[in-house]
Amino acid sequence: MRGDSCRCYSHPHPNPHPLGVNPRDEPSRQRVCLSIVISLLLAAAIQCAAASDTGVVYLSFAPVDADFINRLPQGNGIAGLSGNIVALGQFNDAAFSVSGTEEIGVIGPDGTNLPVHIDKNSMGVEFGRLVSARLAFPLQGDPLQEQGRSYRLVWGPGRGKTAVAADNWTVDPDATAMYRVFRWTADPATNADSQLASIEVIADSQAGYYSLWYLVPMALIFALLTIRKLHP
Amino acid sequence: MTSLIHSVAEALSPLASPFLSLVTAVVLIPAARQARSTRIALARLFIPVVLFMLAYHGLLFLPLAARWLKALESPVWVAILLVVLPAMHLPRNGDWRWFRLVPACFVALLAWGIWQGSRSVPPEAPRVIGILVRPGWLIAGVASVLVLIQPFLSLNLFRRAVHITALCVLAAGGFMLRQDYTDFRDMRARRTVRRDVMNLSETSPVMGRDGRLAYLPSAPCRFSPDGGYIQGCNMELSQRILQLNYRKIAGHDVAELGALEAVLAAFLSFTILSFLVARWCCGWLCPLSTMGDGLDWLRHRLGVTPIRAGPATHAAMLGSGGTLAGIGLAMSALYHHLDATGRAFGVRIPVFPFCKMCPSQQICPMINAGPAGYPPLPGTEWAFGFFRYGCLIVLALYVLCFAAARRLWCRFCPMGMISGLFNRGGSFMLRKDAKRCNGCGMCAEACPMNIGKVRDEMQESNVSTYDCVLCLRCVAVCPRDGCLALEHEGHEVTRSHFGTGT
Repeated sequence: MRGDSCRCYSHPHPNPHPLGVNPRDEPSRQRVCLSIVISLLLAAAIQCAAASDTGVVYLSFAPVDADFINRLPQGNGIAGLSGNIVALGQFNDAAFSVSGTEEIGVIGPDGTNLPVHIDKNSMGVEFGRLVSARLAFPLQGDPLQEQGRSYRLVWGPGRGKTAVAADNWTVDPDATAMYRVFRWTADPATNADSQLASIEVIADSQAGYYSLWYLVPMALIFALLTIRKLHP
Repeated sequence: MTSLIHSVAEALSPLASPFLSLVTAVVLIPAARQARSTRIALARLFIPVVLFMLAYHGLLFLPLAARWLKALESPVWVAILLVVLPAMHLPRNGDWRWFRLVPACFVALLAWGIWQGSRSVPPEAPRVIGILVRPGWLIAGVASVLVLIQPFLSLNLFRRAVHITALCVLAAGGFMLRQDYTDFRDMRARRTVRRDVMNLSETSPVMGRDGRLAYLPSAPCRFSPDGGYIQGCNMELSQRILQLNYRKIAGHDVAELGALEAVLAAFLSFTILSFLVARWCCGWLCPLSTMGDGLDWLRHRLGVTPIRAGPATHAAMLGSGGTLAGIGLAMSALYHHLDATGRAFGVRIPVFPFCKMCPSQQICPMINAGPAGYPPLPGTEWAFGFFRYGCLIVLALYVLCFAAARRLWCRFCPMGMISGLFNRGGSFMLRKDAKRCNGCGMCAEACPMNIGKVRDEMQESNVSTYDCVLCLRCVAVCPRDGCLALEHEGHEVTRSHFGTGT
């Protein structure tokens, strides 16, 4: 400990207060400032606490239309699910990242784990982590008729164990009435029809431009850097 | 309760955006400093922040914008925004006493997180499992501890404290610090598998779909077998960029587009960080330079005079580093030409050619596992022995550069070369008041990078140079009050002060 050494940081030269005045003159303002900072801090702490590689989202369901069915691989339907009302959709929530299909599960309204069938050909993997997949699972009754029954999609180590990757993941175009498309409500960004797969939206319509979302800010930063180098 | 926490966390997610930290540092704080009253200053600070948060949440309703913003979020930015920036910009008066509550809260939260992690360990677990803590807690907590102890230490002591802390967290973190017990168990399982380093593409995932840190920080090299890492190596990212299949991207291949997006997100985040801190990381955080400083200390204890390399040697080091980086990057661009035997045009090439020669990939595994952790040497079948002998030569060069001279290696490091671009024009500036300079030359003597400009410059006040690692040894030894100072966005963070050893 060197008590005197801190003088270099609290040097006496006339360095103006960053907020323009001496806060000792306005203690109430100081307290307001402090309260805001602490509130932000505590809130940020909550955010840190929430960050995890496990997650849960609540599902809602809607009828499917022909356009939706036409975008999926077609065949005789998924083996083992015939006779049930089946929920379909591409899950790619921003927080979704698992090491394998065994870490994905769907919990029905009665708390039971539902078998989840994952289309092997739809799985998006980045740096070895599964981040996007097309899912299908049987519903307990028809959620369009029975409102208020909640389904949860869970992921993370030890959370699922009911999902299997299917080679022959197809939908039966003649049984449209038996299908429902699921949506999730954890993230407002994906709480829309576009949830079907934002990555597909990118791939289909804006892939050529999407890298600009990152390149333009980078270019702006380098432009700012150049300007400041030339005019320090 | 869980959903409430998630809702609050989601509401505050803009704090984890690098854009908010950048705007706060570059625009809001300088604007607040010009204010005539506290009320105006607070308004200039907080009203834009609130507007930013509202706009951020508005953008989240647009799927593509949401995807973009989420890919950039990281708890690192929460720590920078709430701890580091205020610590640099708040004056050390009454405000500082109150501000200390913020890092103190983060430290308390870190302790609570560690306690919670220890409680989650099942009884059948082995006795020694390190520390279980989430990355966000760790980063904010460690930064807070350093901010709290800084006023009690001289600049030199503080730098050493940061060096040692960073070495422990970054280099050994993957071994000692894990996110939870499952993560720890996975790390142990990975250690039992003998790895073929030349085919290794990666040891563990580091970024989830949303770009948040999914694992704890570990070695600066992600190829450390224990995993964990902050996406901070621009050479690895550069190789990834070159490995991408742009024909597939043009064909809108989903997987390839996702990989491109992840790399660009990491690059953008890295660019913003470089703008804010430039080569400060080289001088204060880099574990390789900390270990190199250990060699430097040993040489000093043995009484061996360091070699003061001249401009020709410096130019040769710079050229060699650039050439090696170029060869590594060119080889990585051949990734899509590799056949089933891993050969391109008859030459066997690893997935990450530059990384296979980098000393970090060789040294960092030994921090966790001792000498036995040294990765197996590549066989001579890899590019006709280029990698086998190349990695040994580069490792020898690293040891020689630190053992015989002071930070000669840092002129060779491609990562530092890129960060050096931000030394002039970025947020940090080394300022000299030539009127106070007596030309004693102590700054040049103290400089580990052998930079003479700080001593010689008598016209321009900005004495930042491309090579400077912002270690601030020159500021610490300068005998003239206020002659040298470090500024961040025009605000003086520290200055030379005669008699205190700064």
